[in-house]
Amino acid sequence: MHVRGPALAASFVLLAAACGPAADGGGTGPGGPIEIIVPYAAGGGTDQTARQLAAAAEDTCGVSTVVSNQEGAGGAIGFRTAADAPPDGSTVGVVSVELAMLAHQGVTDVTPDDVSGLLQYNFDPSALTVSSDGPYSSVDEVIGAARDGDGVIVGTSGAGSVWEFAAEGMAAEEGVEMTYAPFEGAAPAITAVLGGQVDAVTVSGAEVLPQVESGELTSLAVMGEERLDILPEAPTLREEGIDWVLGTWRGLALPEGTPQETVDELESCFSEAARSEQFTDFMDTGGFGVEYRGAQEFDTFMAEEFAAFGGDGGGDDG
Amino acid sequence: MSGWLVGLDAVLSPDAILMIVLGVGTGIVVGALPGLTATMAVALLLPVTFTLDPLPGMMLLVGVYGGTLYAGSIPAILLRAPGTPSAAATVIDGYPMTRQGKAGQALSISLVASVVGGLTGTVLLALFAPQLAGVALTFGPPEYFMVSVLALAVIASISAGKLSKGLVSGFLGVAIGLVGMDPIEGFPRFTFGTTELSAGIPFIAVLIGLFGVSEALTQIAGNRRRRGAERPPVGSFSLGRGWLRRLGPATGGSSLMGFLIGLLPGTGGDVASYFAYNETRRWSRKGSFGKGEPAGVASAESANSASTSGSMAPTLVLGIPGDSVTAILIGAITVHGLQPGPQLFEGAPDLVYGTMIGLVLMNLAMLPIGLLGIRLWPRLTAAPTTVLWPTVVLLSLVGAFALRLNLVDVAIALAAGALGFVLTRGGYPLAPMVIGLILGPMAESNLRLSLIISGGSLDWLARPIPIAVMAVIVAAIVLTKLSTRRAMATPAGTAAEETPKDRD
Amino acid sequence: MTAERRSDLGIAGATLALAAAIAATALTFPAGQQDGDPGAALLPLLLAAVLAVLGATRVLAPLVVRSAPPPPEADGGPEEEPGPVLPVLGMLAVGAVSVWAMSWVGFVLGAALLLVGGALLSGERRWSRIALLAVLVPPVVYALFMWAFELRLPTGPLEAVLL
Repeated sequence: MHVRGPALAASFVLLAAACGPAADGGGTGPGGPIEIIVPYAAGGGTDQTARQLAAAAEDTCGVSTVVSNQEGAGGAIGFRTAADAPPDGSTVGVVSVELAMLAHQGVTDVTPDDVSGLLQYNFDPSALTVSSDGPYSSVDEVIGAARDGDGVIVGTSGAGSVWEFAAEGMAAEEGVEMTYAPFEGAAPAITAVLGGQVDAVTVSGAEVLPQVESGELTSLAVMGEERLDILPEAPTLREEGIDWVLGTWRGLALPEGTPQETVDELESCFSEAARSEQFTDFMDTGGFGVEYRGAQEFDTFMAEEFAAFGGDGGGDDG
Repeated sequence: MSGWLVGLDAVLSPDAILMIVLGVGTGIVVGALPGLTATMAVALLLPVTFTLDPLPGMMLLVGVYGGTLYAGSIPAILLRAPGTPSAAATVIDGYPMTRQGKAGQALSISLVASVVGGLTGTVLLALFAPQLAGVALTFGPPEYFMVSVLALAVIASISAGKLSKGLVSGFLGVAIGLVGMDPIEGFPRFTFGTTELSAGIPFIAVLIGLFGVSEALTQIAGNRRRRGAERPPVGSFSLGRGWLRRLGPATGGSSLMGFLIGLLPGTGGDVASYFAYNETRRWSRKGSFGKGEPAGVASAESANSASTSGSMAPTLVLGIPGDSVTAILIGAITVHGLQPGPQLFEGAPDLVYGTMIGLVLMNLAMLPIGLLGIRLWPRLTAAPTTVLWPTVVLLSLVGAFALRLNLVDVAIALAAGALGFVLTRGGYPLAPMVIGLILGPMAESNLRLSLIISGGSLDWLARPIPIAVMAVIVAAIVLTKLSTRRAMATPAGTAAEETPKDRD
Repeated sequence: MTAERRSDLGIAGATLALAAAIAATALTFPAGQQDGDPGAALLPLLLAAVLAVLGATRVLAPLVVRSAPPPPEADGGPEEEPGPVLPVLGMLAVGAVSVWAMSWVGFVLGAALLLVGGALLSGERRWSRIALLAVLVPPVVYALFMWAFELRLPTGPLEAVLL
């Protein structure tokens, strides 16, 4: 009998067959599959890095991994799901700098205290970037113009985003005022600085790399502890005499209360995955900065970041 | 030129080609089912693309889009039930042809006209999109604000005949878009203190509800009254003697008109096909339009196909949705961390040029795939609906859930379904709501950005592009209003004449 | 009064109420903090005003304008007189209940419930067809999303056995 429901289903089955090679996972390994919760949409930077790490961990941990995207509320939904999961090592959450920011913004009550850090695998500092044809050729000139009341306009990737915080913190450190224009994501902000709509942007160095390489944009400084390999010309803000370090970071965390031996076990196999050639190659080609911290260290770092975003001068602990 | 080579290289991968074929095939099946719109098919398949690379994912959605738009004409011709909104104008001459025993010919004309319209539109897109991209870099918040206002103003013209209802629908869409943190300061608005709503109501869940669920509800409500129509013979599938001379001018002219109307954000295949149908009818001065004139079918179908390419231009170049389908395509691009707009031409030339080449391949693929199915449709469209619509509800809800694996989204889809049902029943068009939902936030954030950047002055309104856009807004309102009034008035008359006979 | 007009009035009333609610809430929003920013309340307040005018227009429409002949269905909506509302409410209820049930009986059973309910509400009375639908479609959709699309649907006891 050819009814239309099955006809539609049949075409989906055809699609399924086509996607066949991509269909793996789901099999049960020795310890059962590990679910990795990504708090952002599939395909974004956090998702891409997490999926690569998950794939590498299948070899090193000897279990299958399933990535599920639970986006929403700037990451709060996914952070909450990971924090509330059973603390038995079957669920690993991907955490990012937003975990240290969202509670201060009143979006959610989930904080780094609700999770137990597993490892950090990424850090991307903000880069103060201007148009190459524009009036500014150094950090001093930008700060000076702001001090003279010339109304320096800085494009950011959104209201309450880490890049807006980066710009505000830099200005506060120097005691100057700037105007912040929050665009919907990094790309429109970059378009705006290309088109001369804004004077500067503070998105990550990797995000402006194509335009910097083509000569249209110039990165005046990066807000990291050290210069970036991909932008060797740009000094750090500290070299320029401004004590301000800020960037985005990504890592893995377990629900608070996970037994120590489980944490140790997962830390050892996930850190092996994070240091595998497969994963570091991916991070390099994708322009993601590699910065590694172990479970203990990451936990402390998250607590510091959380405190820093809550205070006025915070965030300068990189 | 190198962009084209990169694009060609990308699109000639087995993955991309396979996705084009699968997309067109799926689209034809989905579009042939009355009520399953292109918007819904693309929204339902969107989660599938999350696991694919950007270009194959785009090819799948574009294939579905094209296939659905073509196939919408199949039930329009056979059952007088347009499979998609764009096929509404096809009904006018297509259904009388079926009653005259010329269903086969009408189906063939609709297929060929769709392919020709799609190819013409794609060539125009390829010629003009890069130029538009160069201009787009000069677009700042003031320009985007004016363009989003232009697109919102178009709600008025797509609501021809029911202006206030279209506006209510559009502004309700803006209201839905208000929920969540405000775009400039991150202040939570209308979130009722919940975390789930702080990033806003996910618009794809709303789309799935508005189109998929609400149409299923409407069909389930009306199901018991529907009677099986008696069937005249299907007739020959040839295009008829002297087809090139008879149909060529109508198809060519309608393709051009369809593309130009598709270019305007907010106007898609439905307006394009009415517009082109009406112009063709005016130029031809034949009395047979509305009574089974093959050129009428050719005109409507070529125009809605060409408008697909037209609406891709603002999508690819400005990141502004040309219609509700391209709005979802934008979602499919951004989910891969890519932002549509001028950046995309530099950042992902394989995707931009690949998509344009893919549109050509998609139209070429449509011909053989369409021919494979053409004899099957008259039999297939007679199947039971009691099984179909519950399945549609299920797939819609699964689609909404799969978006973020969140039950809140399923509830939103169900609520949007109920809202869509009530609005449809009250005679309110749904397309303006989608436009309002997307463009409301865009208008707000760009207005406020303009004011912040200018320190509160309104000088930015005097920049050349905002002035030009304002002129376009006025022209667009006047022109589309005049043309849709003409286009709506005449078919309405003919449809009314046909109705008593058809009901027997 | 036709079904369309009744729905129209209902929508118009809801629009007016929504306008009032939006305005009342928006008045409590903070002013913009940066120079020139009109603040978070600007759009809601404008929108409330527009919705109020439009809602009033829809309430008064038939009294002011002589009703024009209805345009052809440009939205591809149903052409016949709309059916009863009861099956629609039933379908919404079945949808909500079966989705809610999915979180503990699993996707396959929940989906089967939805399909059976939907088919019955559509007027299907041939049990062989309903059974076929309920048995075939849910596992296919489940398998498709789990393996082809790698998206996890709710898993219950039945899925555990199937896996």
